[in-house]
Amino acid sequence: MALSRALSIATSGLKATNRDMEVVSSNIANANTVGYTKKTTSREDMVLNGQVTAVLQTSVQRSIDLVAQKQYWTETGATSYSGTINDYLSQVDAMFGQPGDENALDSLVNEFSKSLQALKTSPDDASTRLQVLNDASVVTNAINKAANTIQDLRQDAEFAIEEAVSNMNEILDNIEKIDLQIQEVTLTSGQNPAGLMDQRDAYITQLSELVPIRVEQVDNNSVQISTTGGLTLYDVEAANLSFTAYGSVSAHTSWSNDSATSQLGSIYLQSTSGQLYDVTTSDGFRGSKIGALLELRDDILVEAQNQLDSLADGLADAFGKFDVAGTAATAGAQNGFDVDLADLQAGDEFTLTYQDVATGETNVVTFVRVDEAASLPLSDDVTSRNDDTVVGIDFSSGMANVVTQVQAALGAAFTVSNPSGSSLQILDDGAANTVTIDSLDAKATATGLQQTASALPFFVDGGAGPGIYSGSVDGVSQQVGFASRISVNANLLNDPTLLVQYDSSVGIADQTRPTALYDAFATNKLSFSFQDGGAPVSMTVDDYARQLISYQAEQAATAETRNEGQEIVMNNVLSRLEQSASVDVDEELARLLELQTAYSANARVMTAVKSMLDALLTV
Amino acid sequence: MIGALNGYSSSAMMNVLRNNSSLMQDLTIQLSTGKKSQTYGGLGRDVGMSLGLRSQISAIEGYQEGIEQAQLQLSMMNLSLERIVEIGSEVSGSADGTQFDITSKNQSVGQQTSATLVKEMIGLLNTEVDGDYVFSGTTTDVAPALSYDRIVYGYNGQDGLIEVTDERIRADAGADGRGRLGVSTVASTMTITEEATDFGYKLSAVSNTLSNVNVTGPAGSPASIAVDVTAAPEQGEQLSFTFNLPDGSTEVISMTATTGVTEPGDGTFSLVGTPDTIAQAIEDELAFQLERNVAAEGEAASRIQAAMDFYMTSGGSEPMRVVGTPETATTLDTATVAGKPTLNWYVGENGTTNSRDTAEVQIDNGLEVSFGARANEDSMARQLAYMTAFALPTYDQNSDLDERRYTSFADAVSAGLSSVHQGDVVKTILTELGVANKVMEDADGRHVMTLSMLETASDEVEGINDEEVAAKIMTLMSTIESSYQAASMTYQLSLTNFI
Repeated sequence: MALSRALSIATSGLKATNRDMEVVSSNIANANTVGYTKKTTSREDMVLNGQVTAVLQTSVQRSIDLVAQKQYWTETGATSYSGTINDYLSQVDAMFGQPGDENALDSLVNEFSKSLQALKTSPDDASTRLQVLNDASVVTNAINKAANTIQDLRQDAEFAIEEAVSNMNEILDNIEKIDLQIQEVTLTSGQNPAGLMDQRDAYITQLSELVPIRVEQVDNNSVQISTTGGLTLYDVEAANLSFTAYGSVSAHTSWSNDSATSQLGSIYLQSTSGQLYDVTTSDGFRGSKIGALLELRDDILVEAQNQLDSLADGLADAFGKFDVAGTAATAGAQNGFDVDLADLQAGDEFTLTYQDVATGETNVVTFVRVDEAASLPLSDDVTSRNDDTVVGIDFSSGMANVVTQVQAALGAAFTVSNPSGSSLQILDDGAANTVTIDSLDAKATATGLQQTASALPFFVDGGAGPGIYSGSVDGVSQQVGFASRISVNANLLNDPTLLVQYDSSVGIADQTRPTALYDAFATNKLSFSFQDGGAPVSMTVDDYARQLISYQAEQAATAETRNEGQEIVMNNVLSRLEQSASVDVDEELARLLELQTAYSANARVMTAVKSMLDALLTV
Repeated sequence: MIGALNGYSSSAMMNVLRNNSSLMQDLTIQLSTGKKSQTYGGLGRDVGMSLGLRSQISAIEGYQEGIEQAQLQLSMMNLSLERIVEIGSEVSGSADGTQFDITSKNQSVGQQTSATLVKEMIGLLNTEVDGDYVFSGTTTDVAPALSYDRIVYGYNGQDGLIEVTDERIRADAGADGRGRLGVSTVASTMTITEEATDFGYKLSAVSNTLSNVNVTGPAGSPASIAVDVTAAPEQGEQLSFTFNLPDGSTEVISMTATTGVTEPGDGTFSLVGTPDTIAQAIEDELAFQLERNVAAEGEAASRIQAAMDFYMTSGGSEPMRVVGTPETATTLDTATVAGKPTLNWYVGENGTTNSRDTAEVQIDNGLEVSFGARANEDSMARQLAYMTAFALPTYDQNSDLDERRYTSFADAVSAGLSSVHQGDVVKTILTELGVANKVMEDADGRHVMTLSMLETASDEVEGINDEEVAAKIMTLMSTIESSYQAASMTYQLSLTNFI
């Protein structure tokens, strides 16, 4: 009967309008909710035997631009990468102080230089001598502090990776849970569980901050997530990653892909069978927070530490090392040099320069003293210069053995001997004339404060028991982490006159040693390694200190610029995503008016049907 | 591109508004600190330049501090040295041989003044600047010169100048008071012979106008002069001997042949008699004059030379002493070799380096100026030697010999102290230091210019331009205001407000 059909159609109209109202009110209520996408509904009429019987609400649809969403996820990762790098490097930058401030590292270095200059002018002034030592202590403190800051940042990075990995696991678990529900709902009802999908996408956004991801839409509204490097994170089942942070990060600890020797945490992917796969090395984390943290921990901050160590090494060497010149020696037609190795400490070098007559090439062989045979052979990186061959010589078995080792390293064209005491003689091959020796010199570390005029152990290794710093390469290289241990020799602090009196008979106004100290700091050029594997730079210690600040500051500036650029990109992508997905309240309100009208119209139909029925019943 | 506002908010819009306000914050910090950035990173590409400029500024400030310190020292040294020069002239003026007025203390007023001025000069040499003795070479913690009393009388078993002088006088005079010369006549030949010794008179030359007299020498080692009389010379003809005295001065003893009566010491000898007699007459006159000369001029020379040997210790040397018994001594050697502990008046650093180089100051890149000094530099030691020597002897107003002694000594001291006679005078030190001072002043002037230039450059790199930042803030403020206004208006335009 037509009236009852009209009534039921009107009822279904009311129901559908109600449902629409729900969606509209949800849209309005969630207009500010992060990750909420605008929902739309659609209707269709139900036709039975060629006649409309009701209006149907088919499904709730999410309004979203999937391409924009993918781009958004990519840029989220990139932004968190540049943001993380910027956060850390701005701290490295800040540790050098404010430009021109008296506590800025370069000001401290300048002050030290100035007080050395003052010492040169008035070595007899007690307060000037004290000032030199105070300024030196302040410089070493600043270097110590900088090195500690860098290691603290590495430690932070280590813990941050752990946190990020555990977050990632949690997020993946949530994604798994929600995605399974989505599949179920989709399968059973054939409807889009839009709310669940919003939630899942919000988790994916969180995930994209930590790792660079690629998201594939698959059947039943499900997704597959993998890193851009191809590591599957979610495919029906969530991957499980693990990371154990080491709590004792220092300059000595480094990451290695061999879990037995690695002193820092690795990221492992746990397979269903419980097998652990090291995924730290894969490039899969580049361009995300975890990637940034790994890069900081193993690369950027390590380089900064190396530069600081290099500075500390330069300081100690500049003041502590002195040249031992070789003296010409001949035997028949053979020419060469004698050099006295008595003052060489572990890590000290003696250098042979010779010409290969046939090719005209100049060769440099740097022999480095080691005290343990286990330290041999040495790598070429031990010296900062690139043009030399490095040969470690074990001094622990006496001069005869040293001669044997040097002879073995040089080959038959040379005659190596020990003419007397601790003197080493290297001669060429005389008449055969295949090689010509240009020079044989040594550089020794002063161990006593009154050993020589020009050098003294001004800076010492304040690590385990204050010790002489000679750049030893026995076991762990002494240079590693020296920046955090370098300190001013306590004996010098006890007796500042030793800054002047290199011998007990020397007058207190004698300028020999102060001049040597100033020259060591501000005039004599040393060779420094700057970037890993890069060409060595030759500059004075104070120049190097400035160079270091400048380099790190520029790194920080670059990171900031990059981050700013990234934020602009991010804003654009975000805006595009918002345009497609966010709720326009005006539009919703207009729709509300429309629904109101529709509702009252439907109600009107019902009232009309009722009055018609009433009329019928009263007949 | 920021999309149109839709609904309550837009994250992108919020980001833009937030960025504006953080930019505002940054500009405000810039304005209040006057710095472009709080970190080196914020300086961007200019960081290297900023660091370089700062290090140059610091270096120049270091140079300036050095110059200031050195100039303070130089001005004190200048004052001392100027007074020392004055003292030299004062003593030179008061050592007047023509006035033999001896006070009750058996010394002339000039001598007593000299003693006082020696004390003053020692005080000047012990000048301190900021606790540092400026005339002490590299040991500025040590007062370089000992006190007058110790110098003169010795101390703690070490002989002083009096003892040194006394021995020297005896060594130069010899037991017979003839200046270590042997005078003898055999037949018609008179011979005067030096002793093989570092002391006494030395034969320098002889000039002879006597006829019938052959003079040979000085020749041989030790040198001798032979005067061989073959017959009587003519009246009025002269024979004169020139001697070198211990202090390097020369004395001439002349005699004229005469037929008249001769008195010892009147410069004549009798030409009457056989050649043997004449030779003996020459010897007698020579011996008399020689003894008289040794007692006066010789003593003066010995006193001066003894004081020189005592004072001139530059380059690490020590006082020189007569080895063995003075009267028969043959060598002069260091106190150590002589085995006679002698006070070394200068106790500062006494190396072989140039005294000026004991203190250097770097006043510019690669430019160093030397301004050190030692109290025993030759010129100052020489002045002290003359002055102290003059202050020592005593005289009897009524003695003719003492008058001769005083006159010759005062003249020698006066001559020695007048700058014309000194190879290396104190004024030279003053001039050298004056040049050093000038170089420093020039450098300082340069530094002031360079510094202001560098500071301007540094300010440009690190600092901000107040007007520029203020203008930026104004612009930004109006941008922020208008964007807030616009945003708020846009949000007002929501349908929410109209239904």
